[in-house]
Amino acid sequence: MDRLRERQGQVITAAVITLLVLVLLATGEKESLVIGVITGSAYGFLALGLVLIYKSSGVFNFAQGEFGTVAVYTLYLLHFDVPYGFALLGALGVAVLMGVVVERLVVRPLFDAPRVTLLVATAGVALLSIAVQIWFGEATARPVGRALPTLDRFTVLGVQISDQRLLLLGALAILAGLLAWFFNKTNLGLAILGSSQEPTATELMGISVKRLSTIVWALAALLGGLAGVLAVPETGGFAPGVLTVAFLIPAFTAAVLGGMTSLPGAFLGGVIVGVVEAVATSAPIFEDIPGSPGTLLVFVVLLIVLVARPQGLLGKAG
Amino acid sequence: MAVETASRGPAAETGETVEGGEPSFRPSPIGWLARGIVWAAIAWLVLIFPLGREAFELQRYSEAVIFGIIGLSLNVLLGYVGQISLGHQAFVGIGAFTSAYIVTEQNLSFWVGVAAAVAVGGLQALVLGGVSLRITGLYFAMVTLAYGLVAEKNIFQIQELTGGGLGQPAPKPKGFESDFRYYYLCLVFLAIVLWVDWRMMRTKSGRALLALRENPRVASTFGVNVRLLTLFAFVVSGAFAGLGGALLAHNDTRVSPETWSFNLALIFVIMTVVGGLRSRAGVVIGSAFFALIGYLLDKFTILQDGLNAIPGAPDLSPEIARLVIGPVLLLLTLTLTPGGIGQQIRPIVRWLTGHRFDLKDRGLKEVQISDVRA
Amino acid sequence: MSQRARVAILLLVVALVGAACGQKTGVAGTGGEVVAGGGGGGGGGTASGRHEPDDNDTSGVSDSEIVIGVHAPVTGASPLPQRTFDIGKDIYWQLLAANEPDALGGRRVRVVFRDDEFNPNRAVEVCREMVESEGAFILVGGGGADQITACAEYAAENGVPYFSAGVNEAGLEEASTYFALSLTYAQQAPLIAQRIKDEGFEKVGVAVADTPSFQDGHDAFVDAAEEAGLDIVADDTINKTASEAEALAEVQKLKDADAEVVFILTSPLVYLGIAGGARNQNYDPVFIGPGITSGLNQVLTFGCPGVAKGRFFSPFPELDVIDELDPDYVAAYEQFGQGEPADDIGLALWGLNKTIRLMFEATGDELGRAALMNTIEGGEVFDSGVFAPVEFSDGERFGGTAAHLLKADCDTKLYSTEEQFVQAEG
Repeated sequence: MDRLRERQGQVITAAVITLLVLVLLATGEKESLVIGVITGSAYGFLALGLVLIYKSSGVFNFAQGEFGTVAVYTLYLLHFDVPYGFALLGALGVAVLMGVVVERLVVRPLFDAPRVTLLVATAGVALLSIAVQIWFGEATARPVGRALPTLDRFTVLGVQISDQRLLLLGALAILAGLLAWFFNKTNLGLAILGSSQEPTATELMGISVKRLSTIVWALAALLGGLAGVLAVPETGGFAPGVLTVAFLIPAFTAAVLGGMTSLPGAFLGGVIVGVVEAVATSAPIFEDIPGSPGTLLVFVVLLIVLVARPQGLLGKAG
Repeated sequence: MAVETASRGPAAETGETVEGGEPSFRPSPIGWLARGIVWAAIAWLVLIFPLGREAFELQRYSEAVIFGIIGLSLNVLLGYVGQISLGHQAFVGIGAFTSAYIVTEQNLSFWVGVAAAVAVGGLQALVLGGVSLRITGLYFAMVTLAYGLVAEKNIFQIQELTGGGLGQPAPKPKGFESDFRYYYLCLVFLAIVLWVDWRMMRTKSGRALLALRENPRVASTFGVNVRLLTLFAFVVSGAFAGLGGALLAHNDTRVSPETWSFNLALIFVIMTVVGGLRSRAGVVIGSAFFALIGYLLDKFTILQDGLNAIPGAPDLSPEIARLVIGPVLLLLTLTLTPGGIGQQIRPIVRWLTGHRFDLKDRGLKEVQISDVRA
Repeated sequence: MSQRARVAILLLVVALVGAACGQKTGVAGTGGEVVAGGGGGGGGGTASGRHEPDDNDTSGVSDSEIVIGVHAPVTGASPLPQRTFDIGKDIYWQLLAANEPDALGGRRVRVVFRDDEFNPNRAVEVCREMVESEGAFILVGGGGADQITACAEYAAENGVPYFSAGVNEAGLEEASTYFALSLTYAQQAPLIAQRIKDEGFEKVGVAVADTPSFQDGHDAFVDAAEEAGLDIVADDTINKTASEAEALAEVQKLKDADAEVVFILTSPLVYLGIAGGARNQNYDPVFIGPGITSGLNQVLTFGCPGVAKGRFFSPFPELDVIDELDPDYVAAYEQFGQGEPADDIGLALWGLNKTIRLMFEATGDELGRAALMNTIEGGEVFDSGVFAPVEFSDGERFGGTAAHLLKADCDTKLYSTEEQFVQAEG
């Protein structure tokens, strides 16, 4: 039965994507397609971390974006004195550290609390992170350069794709696949999934649930950090809270759209949300929407998904 | 007895005497005197003390009172119904713009503006409430969040309604032009909100709502329609929020779209949670505190000096201090004292309402943000 | 129930009584209190009339000091660096006190600064605070058109002189106590159109932020461009706080329209988004626009190489020529800068402060708000040597006469002054 549902999900997804692509090409919005994939990949990256944490502990992690912002900030601080590669590693290290600290100080005490409490708590963490950034730095933006300088590796449908973007897309695809394999095939991955559903049983098997929790959060922080250091330099710079402000909500929508329990779904969800946003911004029919058409359309998509197919495109029902 | 037990729970949490509950206790004459003095002191602080301050300080105090109203409105959702709203700033903002629009563009009186704000607030809350019946828990939180964003980035950008970047003027009502009078007007509204909230929770439906959170089956034995009840709660929450928005608009004499950011939504949630869910007094105090942080930091520079004394940290301006204190308090509350301020002051509140002073009394059950149907 | 109800009713009664008495006791609180909110204060004359002194005419001026209130966004959607303001606001006055202790009747100038969070609401709040709590004599707006417009309204209602660099005109024309110390967007528009024409470009794209404050600047440019015979191939508004996707979409539109030059009037962050996006798409137009904030060096720190072809008019010249125009500036930073380098935001504040000093002096020792405003409107020319000379006759609110043209230089990551004192028409 599950198999059938899974198949159903995959078929629907394939249909939706094909439809989307055809419509865009037909209406001449081909650039939006490419731009959407580009910006959507950043959303997908954050969504990966969101799904990871949700799968293993049922928490909506509001601080996911801040793992990325902190990583970018560290990258910025380090890259003056140290070669870019080392700065990157340092940045990711700091992000992981932050993940572990958050897990210890905030998630552990609230282990048995209702999930919404944890949502609010992680929101508090995100706010605190932003406040500290403004406090110690300025509220103004700062520049940070790319890892790979080439700007025009390819041109697809009239839009230039830089090396940095390809790096992001590639890393995203690889990680999504890796994580899916990890959760389905390895003992550790299965243990993590098991621990969220049956903590007592897991403990009885001699696996420390607390240890698993730390690993998961460290991993999610790593993903968030990667999202930050790969995506943000492409835009030239960052301001405090950049990932939370600009990327987190679309990332959540992406995760919900893809199915909060599906890692490949996060990837796809991100891309779809990116495309929807890009189309909303450039297509003439949406021009008269006051303010930001992207926000409205993403909201509509979210509503439709939650009402019509709550498990998302590739998620498991129930 | 089952009915009594069930009714003792919520009633005791909202601090009332219940027949058949604890043995009746009457304070001694000295006890009455002591309580009276404390009440008088509170009355003096709220009513008399502001008279000696400058006008623009009164504007701040009004804001604190209005935040209290907003906190109470969010408390209905968070504390009574158990649904989290991460887009509450939209409810308040829509109320604010409605009132401003009615008064400035339609040239009607302030009172019409307020009534319209209340109505509009209630209406959109009703719609959202309908959504909440279908989509629950964490996902509903996401929907409210996205709705808040849509309000900020789309609805409030409609220039005919909201005046665009510059915002919409919202002059004070006739007869209440001074900040002093407006403050007392806000106090009256707060009193009304408190009274409505209190009465609502005393009815059978109100108690059923509270019971619903703990145990859905018990609620149905009360013979009330759970869905209708939830919707009603949403409407009340929206109405209060709309009122708060209207009052805020005229307090600032201008409403601009920038104010209604996601940051504000989080501040509302923080102040309600830190205030203490289901504790009216706690919520009002918590909300007022958050409204006044910047003001207090300016007045009592000792606090700022203390914060600046943290080694290695650059100077902390009041704006940044506000940003930092909020989440810190939230995290402390959630991890250490989930009942917030309300939990801490519960012994005092009970004492003031004629009960024994009992330090151990923390309410029948630890109340947290709870997730009924996720 | 009964005791609670009784207490509640008692409190309600006291509240209502308080509301009724509130007005009277309020005034008794502090003498000469400025009436708050919607009620009008004295002081503000009509836009072209003489100003009459009110109860607060000399509020903020004593025998020993004058208090100035400055607001600007250092947090919010378009922040400027806080540290630069903290240092820059005082530097001119510190130098003055050191070099000319007898100026301004021997008074020292104290500057109070507040963050307006890029929110017009908050701007009114902090302006009010600075006047009523800190006792500011005059107010100065550091940047952000919406905030300046909002505070100007407050200032006019309460008779407080208010100064800023030129921004929009709509909403400020009726502000009877407002003085723009440099060219407004609308006044700069013909200069920009002419410059584009002179350089031989024809196809112009227009990208303006979606807020009413920028409307008159936009319209003035479109008119001027058409008059100059330029071809406007794209004319878009972009969200005030546009996301990356929105910036990219706008770039695509401009690119498809083949715009050689883009007239840009947005916040600096949005400008950066568009310029960066253009660079990524191998699209290389010239960006040109009115000041102020897109012409600041911090834009270049961030935006090179995308902003390499940016040209902006500005009330102040850049650091490369300041030594010719006013050697005191760099010297002052060395003495009072507390280690911070002399920068262009400080230069903007310097120009504002210097012009204000001239206005104070022209008013004489009997310094009061009404006297100050009457002096300014008397038609005298105030030439700070940094900003272009300003002149406010016939109740004109916008006194600028010229602007400097700045050009981006991505090698030094600083703007250079391409042309000084480009005269406006009329």
